[in-house]
Amino acid sequence: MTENILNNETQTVPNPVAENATVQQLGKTRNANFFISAATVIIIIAVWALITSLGFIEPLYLPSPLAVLQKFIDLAQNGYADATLWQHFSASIQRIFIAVILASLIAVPVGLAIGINPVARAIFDPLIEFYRPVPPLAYLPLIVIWFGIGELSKVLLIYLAVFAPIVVSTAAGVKHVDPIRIRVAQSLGATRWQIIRHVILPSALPDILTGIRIGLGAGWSTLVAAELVAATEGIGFMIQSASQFLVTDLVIAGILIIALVAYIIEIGLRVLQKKLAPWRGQTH
Amino acid sequence: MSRLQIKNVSASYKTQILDNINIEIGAGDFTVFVGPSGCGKTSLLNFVAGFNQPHKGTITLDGKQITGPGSDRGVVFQQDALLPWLNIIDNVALGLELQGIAKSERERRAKEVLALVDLAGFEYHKVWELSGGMKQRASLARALAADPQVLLMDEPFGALDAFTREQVQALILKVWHKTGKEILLVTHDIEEAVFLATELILMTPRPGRIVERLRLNFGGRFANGESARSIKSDPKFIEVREYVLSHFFTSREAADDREYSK
Repeated sequence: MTENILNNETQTVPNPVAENATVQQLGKTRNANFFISAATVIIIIAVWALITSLGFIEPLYLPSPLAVLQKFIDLAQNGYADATLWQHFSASIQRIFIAVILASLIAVPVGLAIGINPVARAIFDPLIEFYRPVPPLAYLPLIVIWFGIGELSKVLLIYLAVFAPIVVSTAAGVKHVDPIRIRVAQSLGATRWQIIRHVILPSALPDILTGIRIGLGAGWSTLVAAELVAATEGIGFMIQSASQFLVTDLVIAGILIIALVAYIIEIGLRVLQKKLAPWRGQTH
Repeated sequence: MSRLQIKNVSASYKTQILDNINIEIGAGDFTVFVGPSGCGKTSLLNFVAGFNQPHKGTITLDGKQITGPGSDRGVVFQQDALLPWLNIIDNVALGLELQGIAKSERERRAKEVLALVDLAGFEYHKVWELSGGMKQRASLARALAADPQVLLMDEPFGALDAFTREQVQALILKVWHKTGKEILLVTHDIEEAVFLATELILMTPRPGRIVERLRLNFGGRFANGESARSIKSDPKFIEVREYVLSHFFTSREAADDREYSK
């Protein structure tokens, strides 16, 4: 999942060749790329359908696309494990959103502090770099022991996964602020706070948004782990529960739901990033 | 009357950069520091701007010692460094916004300076929609809008092509003539230095020293309507230019000799 997000990241870096191209050529390239993406997906689904219809693989291991679609419709109509699909979905999305919003509220100021103040950096940097690479599943038991099996533990696990990437990106964004911009503000009489507010924060905004995008990806990837903890609702819970009963088509339907929702949110954030930082990729 | 006083300023980082610089800058002067790279001219300008402090000596503006950057000294950098999230008028009005001046008032004043730098009509353009020369004019407007006592310019034409450079030079002379503000400009382009300066300060490197000061008025002639071509082809202009050039070539060769003899 994290790798996926990183790949998505490299795609948004402006390509110098494309930048030099005319707008028309750019449009053509984009259309061609969309066609290639769509064709890739269609081919994968076709191969999947072919393999399953020829009976090479037992439906237990890989159900046909049609079976997954039927399961999805069934799920949408009848729900699963005493909860509707909407309830599963909203339980998961609420956990993720609460975690991302709370994490952003703390992580952005912490990242700013690390980028601006060497003392803050000395305090926070080792803490964050120490816990960041640890897989959330490894500290999940500790969180359960400390905070119980309620909603708090689930949100906290996602929160921790989201927190580090936002801090790291924000701090990097602050460090990359053009020092000339800071001098400009200083020579216009800006105070320390005015420099942060008028120069550093807006300069770092694209990196902060990138951090939130990466954090969101990390959040989705810990969702299933979070919903291991005595959940009765949630897409992650649904997938685990289905896997215990070997309901493979439901497992796949659940995976596709997460992938689709995460993808839509990612696209939304990219649009937001373009809106908030339209100067990115412009030569200036 | 001298407003800006640079007294006994020395600085050394790894090697000595500036050695005992003393200058007084009079009201309305257009002072140009010219010299090869390494002569400390940019360091000196940064001391006046307050971005760095000299290791020895003092710099005062109107009798007040400079201890840090401030809005009494407007700075124009080699790169325009406009803020891309603000449109042109908000960039120009940034200093006024930082001072807490009301929006209507700062827009009125920003429009005034934008007209002065021939950018009327570009108020609501995005930064990246402007050409290099226009962006440099906008950053001049930004420095002017805060109404500084002195304007400091660090190679302001360095990133511009030859055609745009002449236009922006002319514009700076016009602004200097109209506002009567002192300008301190740093450059390594000798023709530009001779053309613009009323006070030309020649500096040599290792360590940075002032070797000569020339009182000139080619810029004043331009501001009074004479064309740049007529001034630059004037034998007097050529004589001064060649004098300054020969000055640097001998000192450069001398410096090279010193290097070799080590």
